[in-house]
Amino acid sequence: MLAVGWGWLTDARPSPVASQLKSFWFCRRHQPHRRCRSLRMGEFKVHRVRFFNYVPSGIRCVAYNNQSNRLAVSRTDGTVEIYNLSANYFQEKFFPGHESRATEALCWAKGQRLFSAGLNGEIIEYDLQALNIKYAMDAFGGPIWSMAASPSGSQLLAGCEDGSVKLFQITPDKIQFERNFDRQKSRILSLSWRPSGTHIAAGSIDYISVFDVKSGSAIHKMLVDRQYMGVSKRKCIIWGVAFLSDGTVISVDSAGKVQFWDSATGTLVKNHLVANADVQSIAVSDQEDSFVVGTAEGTVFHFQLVSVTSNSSEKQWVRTKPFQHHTHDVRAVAHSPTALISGGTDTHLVIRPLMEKVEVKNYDAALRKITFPHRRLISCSKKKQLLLFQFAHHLELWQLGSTVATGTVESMCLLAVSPDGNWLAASGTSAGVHVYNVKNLKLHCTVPAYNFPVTALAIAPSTNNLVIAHSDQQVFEYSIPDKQYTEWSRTIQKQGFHHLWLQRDTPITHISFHLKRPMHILLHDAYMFCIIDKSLPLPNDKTLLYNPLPPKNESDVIRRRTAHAFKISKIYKPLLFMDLLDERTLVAVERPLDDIIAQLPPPIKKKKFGT
Amino acid sequence: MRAPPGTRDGAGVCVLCEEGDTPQARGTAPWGARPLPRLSPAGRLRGPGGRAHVSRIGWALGRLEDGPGVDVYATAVALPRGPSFFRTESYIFCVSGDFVKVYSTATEECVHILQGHRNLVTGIQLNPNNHLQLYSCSFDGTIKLWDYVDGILIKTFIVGHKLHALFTVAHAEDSVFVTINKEKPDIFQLVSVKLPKSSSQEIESKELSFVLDYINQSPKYIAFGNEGEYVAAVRDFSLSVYFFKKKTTSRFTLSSSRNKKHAKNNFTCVACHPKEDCIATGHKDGKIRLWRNFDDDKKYTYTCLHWHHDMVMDLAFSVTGTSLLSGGRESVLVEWRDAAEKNKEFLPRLGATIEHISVSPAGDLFCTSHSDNKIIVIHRNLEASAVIQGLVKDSNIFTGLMIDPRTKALVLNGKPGHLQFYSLQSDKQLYNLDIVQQEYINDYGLIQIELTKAAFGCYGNWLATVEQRQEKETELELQMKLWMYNKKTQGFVLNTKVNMPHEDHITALCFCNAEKSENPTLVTASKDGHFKVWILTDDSDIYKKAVGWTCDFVGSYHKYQATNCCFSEDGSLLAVSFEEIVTIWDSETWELKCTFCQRAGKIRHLCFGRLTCSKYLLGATENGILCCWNLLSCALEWSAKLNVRVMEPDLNSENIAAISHSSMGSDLFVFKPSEPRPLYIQKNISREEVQWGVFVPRDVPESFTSESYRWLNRSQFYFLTKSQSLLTLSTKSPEEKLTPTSKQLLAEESLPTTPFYFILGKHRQQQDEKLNAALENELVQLPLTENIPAINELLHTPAHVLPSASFLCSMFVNSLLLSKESKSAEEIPDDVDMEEEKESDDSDEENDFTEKVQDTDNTDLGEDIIHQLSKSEEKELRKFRKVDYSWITAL
Repeated sequence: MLAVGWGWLTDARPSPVASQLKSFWFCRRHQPHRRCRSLRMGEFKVHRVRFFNYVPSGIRCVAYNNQSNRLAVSRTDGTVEIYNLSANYFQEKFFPGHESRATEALCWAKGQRLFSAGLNGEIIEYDLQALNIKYAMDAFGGPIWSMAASPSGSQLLAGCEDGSVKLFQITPDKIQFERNFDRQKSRILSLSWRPSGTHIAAGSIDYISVFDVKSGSAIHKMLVDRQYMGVSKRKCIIWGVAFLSDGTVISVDSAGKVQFWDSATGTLVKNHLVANADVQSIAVSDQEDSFVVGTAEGTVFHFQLVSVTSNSSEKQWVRTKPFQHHTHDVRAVAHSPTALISGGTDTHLVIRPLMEKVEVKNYDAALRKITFPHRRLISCSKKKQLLLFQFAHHLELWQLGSTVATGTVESMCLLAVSPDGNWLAASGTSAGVHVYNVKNLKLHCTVPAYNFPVTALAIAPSTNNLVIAHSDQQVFEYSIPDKQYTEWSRTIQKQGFHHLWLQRDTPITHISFHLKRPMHILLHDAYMFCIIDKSLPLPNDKTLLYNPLPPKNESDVIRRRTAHAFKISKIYKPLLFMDLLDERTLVAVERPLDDIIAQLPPPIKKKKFGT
Repeated sequence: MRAPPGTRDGAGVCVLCEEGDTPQARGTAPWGARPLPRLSPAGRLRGPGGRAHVSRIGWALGRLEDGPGVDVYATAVALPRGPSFFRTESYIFCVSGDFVKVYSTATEECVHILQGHRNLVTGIQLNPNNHLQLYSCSFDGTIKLWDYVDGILIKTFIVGHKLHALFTVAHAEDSVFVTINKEKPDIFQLVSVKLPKSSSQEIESKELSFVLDYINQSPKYIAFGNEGEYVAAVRDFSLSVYFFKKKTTSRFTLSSSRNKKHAKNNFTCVACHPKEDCIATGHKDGKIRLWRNFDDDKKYTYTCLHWHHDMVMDLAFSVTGTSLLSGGRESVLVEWRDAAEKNKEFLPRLGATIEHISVSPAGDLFCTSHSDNKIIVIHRNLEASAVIQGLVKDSNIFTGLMIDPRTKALVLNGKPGHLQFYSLQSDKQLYNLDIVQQEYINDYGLIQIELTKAAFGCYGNWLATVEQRQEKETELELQMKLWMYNKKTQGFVLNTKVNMPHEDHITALCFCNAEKSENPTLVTASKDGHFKVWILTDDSDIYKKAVGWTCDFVGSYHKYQATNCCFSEDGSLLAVSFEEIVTIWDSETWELKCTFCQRAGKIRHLCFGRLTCSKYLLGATENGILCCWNLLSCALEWSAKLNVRVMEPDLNSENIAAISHSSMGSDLFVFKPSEPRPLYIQKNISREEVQWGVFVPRDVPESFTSESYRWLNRSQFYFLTKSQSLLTLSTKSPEEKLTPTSKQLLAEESLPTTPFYFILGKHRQQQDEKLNAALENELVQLPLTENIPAINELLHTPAHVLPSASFLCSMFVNSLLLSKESKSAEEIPDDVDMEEEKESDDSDEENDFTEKVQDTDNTDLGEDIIHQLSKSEEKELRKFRKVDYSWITAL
């Protein structure tokens, strides 16, 4: 059946359901056609849904925590996401945002504590266990533009609209205001601690101040040149500063300059003009041998400290490689020991590994671009043929012929209920998967813990087998009644997954089952849809994982020889959701990137040579 | 290359047409039947080695082989063009064929030509330990060390292999690096050659030690960095760095996949930072990469600079390393300051592709060489300060070779849309005349406006040019311009512009150059079947001063295409050929006088005879027939079977040169129209087809007595081959041609003219001159030092091999004492020398008034010595007295 392949039938014609949907679109939303199509593929009829009008928010801040190897990302709508870089860059935690809580600064403090501050003037601490906001505290300085935790992690600085820099002491369960530094004339847009903790640099408009932490007074005021390629701009905004342990202050500003200052004398040491537009962000590596800046043109520049000659100790900062992975402003950058991380208005989070730091050339050494959340945003009701779309602040329930939009909801853990209603599987953020008996409301068993977070869970209807997908692309099958892994799962663990399967970029976000065919597991990530047929032999590294061509005219013998358990289709991408509506109908929800880019503000226009 | 004597005197050597009967019954010239005049040994022209040559000028780098039985010599005067060139503050060196030329940066004059290599010179480098010496290497397997200030060869090191490039490093005192090619034709190796210390002139140095393998031969692909600690070599897609101390090689390879993005990652050049560990590489896609940390295979990193849109041709760091210079096909010199992408300066419009960039050792001058045979000296602040321009090579020659009647310069297509005026005597471009006057866009596939025809008229007072541009078959843009010579500005000024003078391509244009013609007349012939006569008229300006050209007469003949036109010497007749037919028109009334038709194919060349032969008209047809018509009898005088490619009349004599082409090569025939036998035949002057030729009148007539060279007495014949080599026939060897005058332009002239110079230098000069003038009279008594062998030896022996000074001193003094006795014997050669010097002094006379005033004063003071002056000096003094210096008192 499946072995027939994924060929398109020549006599494909729209089903009545599809035409119904299409007519709905025409009369209610006046959307262009081809939003929803019904196709017969193989033996499934597919609803190809493209009307999920989801636009991710732009990335505003990125903060990297070296100890836990986690990355906190805040978006313009106030959403904060936590990525676990060790677990295949899986987005493991998520704090939904709110318009009133737009974040302008994000930082980690001692003990894996995450703080954010925003234009509403509040400093917020997040509870990473309970996944809620621990408290919000007003700094009483107007909107907060910048925040920095001290190198020891026990103090927190906030730069405010009124030109004040406020120092807070971090207590075990709260933060406490300690004192103000000398007040400046205009807002403090960027802050950086000297790694020794004795001085701070604060970037304002047209100048950079250096404060002594002990006295709280400004010891230097370094004026930044407003001139830009001979044209005087109105203001020069210091978007970012970085204080190095040798006393050098690096500043990036709206005139496109990266400047090196000597904080002891308050003088300019070196000037690099890198862009015609603003340079908006800077991040320095822990070793202080390289740093990265992001510009409004979407370019990320890497600077490295290289020795002038091989036998002298003299070193200099050199701009080395530019990376153009963004189309819009790069608002935030981070520097992990092995990678450059950047994010901006174009909503992508880009992780660019540093080749010289990567020990082994494996899939970790490849560039990653994370656009969609690693969760399921869509659920579907099979009987009623409903689709539920989850947006940042609202839900949309779509039915064939009518639509309802209702309130807010958020879900954090992964839950799965068995179709017969007996079992409930739940996955926390770190621990293993617990299976509860719904009838007697007791813990039935716990699936042995695995290092990588769970990305999707589902319980098969007839066998009550629990299928678990992890962020390292492993898939397990666990028999709830037997309280052990199934035979098939053991086989595949023994043999190992195909290397191409393990090299996929995005986690599996949804697992479902075919009612009539118990041997089939349906799962998908953002770039492929797969049906695992447990009755067929597993592929080894030598076989082709992805079916190259639909086997139209080949003989059955060859087909049988090449057939393996994984049937993969890459027709739909980026695929946000796919499920079986009934035994012969699939629904696929896509969100083309072009549609997202079309809704973003226009990027800075750049002259391209030859146009 | 002298042929064995036996081959010279066979009639078969110079057979032109089929032996036996010829198609033309009447007037057939027995060209093939005549044996070459046999030269008696005494009459043979001799060079220094007793050989004779064909001389060549221009871009030729290969060797010309003399044809069998030829007694004319080849001298190569190649132009500034070579694989590399370097400069000190006041000199630029450039490789030019087998020679190295030394130019002065201040005067742009060629100071010395260092010759001695017997094959192409491939690399030159200053001796890092003595900046007054220069190393050069050549395909002949030798490295030579020169004293370039005096132009002396100091030493020759015989290596034995064909040397492709040369590098020197300061710290390696006794060795240099060369690229050689050992086994496979495309695999080159960098080896270091130990130069043994020895006093002898020729030293064998076969001690080679291998450094790097699989490199490119061009010196642009190799660079030594950080005082010779490492060497970087690039080839294809990889960069190799060899560290001399660690003796390790690091190799970095760029992606070379076939896809569009990386397909042009090829390395094209490399340069090393003088102070830091930084290597700059240029690439085919126009990128420049700056490599750092390359001593670590893992941590290496590079910065990309991208401005060039096409291949980076060469890179050079400034002396301090603060800026990087790059150039390419855009003809823009880019200076990258602090190696920052945004911090760059440009020197645009350099005229042609930059091929090499070089930086002076002190760092205040840059120097670029260009594909159009040009060197530009550029000041540190990116201002071009001097241009050394040879004959421009980079274009098709449509206009042919012409002689500017005023300057006697060779005129031909130069830069795109320009006419170049090139002085054959000084091997230098005089100037460029911008004809098209439009910005030249350097891009492949663009159809440019081409300058197709040009002609001088009225003794150089008028210049007519035709330019055309044809995008499609039907869209022809044609423009004729007439330029008047302006005496004030000493240049041509546009007078008349005619849009679409004809409906179709102009095939020929000529001026009426008759002496008595009062009104300048120009005739153009076109493929549209017409010829038009243009005359200079009053342009109805109210002041009656403006003049312009208008069409006076349009002629045609049976709608045939007009292919050639030509005025007779006195201007009374105009001959226009219409395909196969030649028509003769009266230039007074524009009446058709008569027609000639030989039915032997279209007329390719047409010209009237001159002087005593002015009654003859010559025509060469495409079918290979050369016809001579008698205008008095209106009948064919004679004809010969000859596939003429070039036919040029000599303006100073009756002679006409014709060059024929066959698969064997090109042959030259010189004949007079009055007699059907050629005066001179030179077989196989060139292997390839000759495209253009011209007679250049000599300034000083030669006096060859030999019958076969007499035609060279008043003019010299130059011709241009298809591969754009400009060749000439001469009887002198290259050594003879080099006059000592060029050697005299030396240090004084190249002194910088700073304000201090004006204040102090002049004053001092005057004082010096006073002293000199006082001394001069005494010095006259002494014989020239050059004639004393002891002093000669003293001056020409390298300093390190000379015996001690105390020994030399007595020898030196002795030699001076002896001179008194031999004075009478040496007086005669002295006089000869004086004569020569006087000649060269004459040209400087205007510049040296102050000196001359001093001279006259001194002569009064030293009355008693005057009687001892030689005759020539007395003559000179008399001349000075005649000059009126009274204006000085008014100062």
